[in-house]
Amino acid sequence: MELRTDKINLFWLSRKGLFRFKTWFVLKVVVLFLWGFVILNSYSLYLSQPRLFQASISNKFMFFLFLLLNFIFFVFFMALTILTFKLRQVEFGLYRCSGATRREIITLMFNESLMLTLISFGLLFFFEIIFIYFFRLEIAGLFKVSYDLRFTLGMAKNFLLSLVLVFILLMVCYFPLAVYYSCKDPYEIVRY
Amino acid sequence: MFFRLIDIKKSYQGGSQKTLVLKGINLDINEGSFISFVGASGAGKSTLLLILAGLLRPTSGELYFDSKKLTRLSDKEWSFIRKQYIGIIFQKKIFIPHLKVYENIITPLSFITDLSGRGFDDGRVEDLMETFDLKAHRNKYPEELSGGELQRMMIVRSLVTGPKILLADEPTGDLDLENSKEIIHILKKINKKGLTIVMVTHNKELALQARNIYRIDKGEIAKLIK
Repeated sequence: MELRTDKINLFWLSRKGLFRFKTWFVLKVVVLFLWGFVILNSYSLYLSQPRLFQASISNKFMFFLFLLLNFIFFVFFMALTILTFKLRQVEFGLYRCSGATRREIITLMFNESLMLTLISFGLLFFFEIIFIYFFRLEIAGLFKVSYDLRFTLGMAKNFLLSLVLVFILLMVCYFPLAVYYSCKDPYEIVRY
Repeated sequence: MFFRLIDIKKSYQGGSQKTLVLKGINLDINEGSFISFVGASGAGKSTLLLILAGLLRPTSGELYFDSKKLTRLSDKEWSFIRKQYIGIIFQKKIFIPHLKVYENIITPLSFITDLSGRGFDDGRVEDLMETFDLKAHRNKYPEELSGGELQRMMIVRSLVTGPKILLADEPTGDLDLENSKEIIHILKKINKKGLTIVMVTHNKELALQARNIYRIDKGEIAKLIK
């Protein structure tokens, strides 16, 4: 008996799967965008002007607000992710019964999350650059430095660095979720 | 011989209590046969079907398919077998609501071929849709189909990879008499073309349509009825 070992076309499935739940997709992008805006700007502020950042954080209200916003966005985003995985359990069960391996399901979920985060962060970076450009004088004033191109580029670089760090953090959060949902008994899911 | 089950036992551990669901099943399933298992709820019919599909591991015993021992295969190896040789029809109406009928049908192919437009036999999909009278519904969403049409869509989806064996768990589920008859007629037709069918049902009338009927009682094959 010959076993075929052709690989699943993950990109096709990811693309289809990602846009299948449009409402959830848009909600996740919005939450990720807003959360990213809060955490990434704070982090890039820390990288650009550590003293100013520390001064803001030393204010108890600001510090509490910063923590609260991060916590709310993180919880909301993870809840949305879990809900989407749950909604798609039947689909994953169907794939497993059709012959997809556990690894293929994990890769599928992970790829979808990866694409979602890339889209959100891509949008975020684009708007951030526009934001920095339009408010360059105000931002420079806030940092009490004179505005020049190096200042904008430095802000963009710090923002990009923060983006990469948060991206890695999110991928670390996604992975156990993908493993957990792929290990559920597929037949029990599609049967009941 | 196609599938051979030797002393297949399955038990579940529920707390300190161990429940023996299958108590040593010995059975040969020949290629091209049409078998149905009947029995009361909890008799072990579905457990047996799950073991045949590789979705559940037996506690002990041996399972062979085309002389290949399957009992100790990894999840990956079992997945390859399901991909190529096994089609499953579910009792529940399982479909992806956001995909059209045609897309739902070709979903299992995503795991064995490239869906970028090449790499899978579209002619085969079209033929199956024609045979099962689904061509007119290809661009509809599953929710727009009737119960019988949905069941036909699920049968086509299970056949699209060209399996050698079809495992059907209560294939007429909640369908009315007329639609149930139609589904049975379809199953008989595809069995005549050489596809092996193993069906689980509690409906005796439905079971009688198979060529061999086994009664499963308390985890054992109690009787070969036909």
